[in-house]
Amino acid sequence: MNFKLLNNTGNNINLLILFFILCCFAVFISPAFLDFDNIQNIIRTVMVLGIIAFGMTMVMILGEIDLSVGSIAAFSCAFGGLFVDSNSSFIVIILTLLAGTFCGFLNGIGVTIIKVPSLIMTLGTMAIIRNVGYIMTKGQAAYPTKLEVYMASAKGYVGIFPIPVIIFIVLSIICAIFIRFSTIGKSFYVVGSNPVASILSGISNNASKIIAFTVCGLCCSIAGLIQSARLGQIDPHMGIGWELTVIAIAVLGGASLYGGKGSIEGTIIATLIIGVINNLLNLLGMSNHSQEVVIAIIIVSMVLIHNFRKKQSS
Amino acid sequence: MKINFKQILKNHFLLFVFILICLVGTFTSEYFFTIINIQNMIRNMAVPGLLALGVSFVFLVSRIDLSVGSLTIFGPILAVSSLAFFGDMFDFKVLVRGNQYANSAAFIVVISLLTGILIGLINGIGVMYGKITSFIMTLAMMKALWGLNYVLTHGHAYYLQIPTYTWMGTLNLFYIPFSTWIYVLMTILASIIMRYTLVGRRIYSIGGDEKTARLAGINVTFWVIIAFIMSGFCASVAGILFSSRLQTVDAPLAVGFELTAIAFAVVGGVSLTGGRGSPYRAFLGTIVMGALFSLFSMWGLNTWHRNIVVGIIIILVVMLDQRKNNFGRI
Repeated sequence: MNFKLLNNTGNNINLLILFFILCCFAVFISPAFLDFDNIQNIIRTVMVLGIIAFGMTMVMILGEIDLSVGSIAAFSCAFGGLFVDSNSSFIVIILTLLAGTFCGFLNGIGVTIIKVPSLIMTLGTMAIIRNVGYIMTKGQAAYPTKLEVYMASAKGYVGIFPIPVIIFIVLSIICAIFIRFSTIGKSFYVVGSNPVASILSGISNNASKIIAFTVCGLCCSIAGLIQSARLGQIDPHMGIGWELTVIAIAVLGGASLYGGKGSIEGTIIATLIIGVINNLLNLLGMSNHSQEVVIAIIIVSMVLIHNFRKKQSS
Repeated sequence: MKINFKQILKNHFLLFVFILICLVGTFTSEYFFTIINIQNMIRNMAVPGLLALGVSFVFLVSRIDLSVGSLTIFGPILAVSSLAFFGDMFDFKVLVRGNQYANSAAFIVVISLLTGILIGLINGIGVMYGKITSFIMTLAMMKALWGLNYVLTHGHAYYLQIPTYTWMGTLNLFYIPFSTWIYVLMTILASIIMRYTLVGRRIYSIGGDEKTARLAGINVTFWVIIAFIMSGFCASVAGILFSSRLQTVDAPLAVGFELTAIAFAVVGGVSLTGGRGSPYRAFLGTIVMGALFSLFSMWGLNTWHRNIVVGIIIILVVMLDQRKNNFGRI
């Protein structure tokens, strides 16, 4: 365990160096990069995916995968959005979070008790959950602009700090503590790296997996909530194609598809790196769609580098 | 005699499901059993059917290919945009958009097919030489092609109203659409290849047990790459038929086709864990799901309901499959 901790920090230091190099490069290209507004924007834009990446990291530490994240975000917000007319932020927010948690729980049940491989289970729920959202809302958006607390989750400020950034920081601290120091969080690593050993040592693999998927669902609904508050519109079409970027963030942060690896700290730095890359491409004037290509190339090359290193070390 | 009947029922169970769906369709809708609807039904089967056929090769070597959906339209888009770009070098031109011209249909077909083979090759090389999990490699490829589709078309549609090209989508031979002919021919060809040639035997042996196949001296790397190339080729043929039917290619088209393709193959009985399944099984899955989709249209259910059913069916079938033989993971 101690050795693994050390190893993770080594990976994170590499990521930090990459982050600073990218920042220097960005400043060199455009001095506007260091504007307070720009930095705020970077964090605001990428934190939505970053929050989901926390959940995805947990799922990937267990050696599973969740493709339904974008759908869960869209569905849970759409579900909350049905109650916009109640004019109560509290009800809408609670229902959004509950819907997300429930979807995540369903994924967990499917993967553990029904024993469908997570790839297929979440590929299926990706289609099911999104289309249930469409049918529920008839494909129309809801507008939460009257709900003050709801809107404040993306647009409010405490002092000079935007509330979404504070949410991101608080969540990242909670997740990091959960993974590093709680019994359940620690058990994720054991289950992910050796499922047989974990059963023999009395850990319930199924319980760990259900908890990880549920937390992932909750993260998705929080992220979706902030995104819809930011846009002032609860759109059931939200989040198409988020899964790849989220997986890219988690993999960049050191999570392995085979389980047992990854950390929230790595994911936080990876989130910032993806944010800076996106911003850099924006400053260079590249379109949104070419960024998609760049992210795909990044994820493939990260996995390649990872494999190369593993080969070298063994 | 009784055992024989059971065997037939077991092997061709989906054929009976297909007949049942058709009967239900005939009784619940007066338009189901008309020649136009049946033509439409079998024409609409061709594109997802070809994708399912391609995906099933990859499933047979216990990999997964998610890039087929984006690849379907990437072929024609790359062909048209590169021809529009190099158009000045050739003689005759066809209008594809605004003041952009592309060359004859033959070039589009050839370039599309080559693109499919190339993308399959890249997928295969990434999976085998780069040791990237097939699901990540093809997911990344799917997103990259999706982005490239937008970049190449600038978000506008290309019009492909070239007479020699569009007849592929509209022509009927003996009341059966040209697309369906191509699909059935490809399925028969694939069945022959898988059953009687070395390619099939190698692919089945790798799917059965990769380690044993490797120890037996089979070049696993080569044959897995071949499976990916076959998938890419099928996807590009599907793309040609699809775009010739619509007489246009547009970047947002064909989103989610990979899910449909996987559903069709899985319903037919192609196992995700490799080694079990055949082009004929993929064909059975295609006709059952195609008939079901047609029935849904008759009942007035829209794409949303259809996608939910596809999702549920994928999960259910894989669940039953897991129950049947409780081993293996993707």
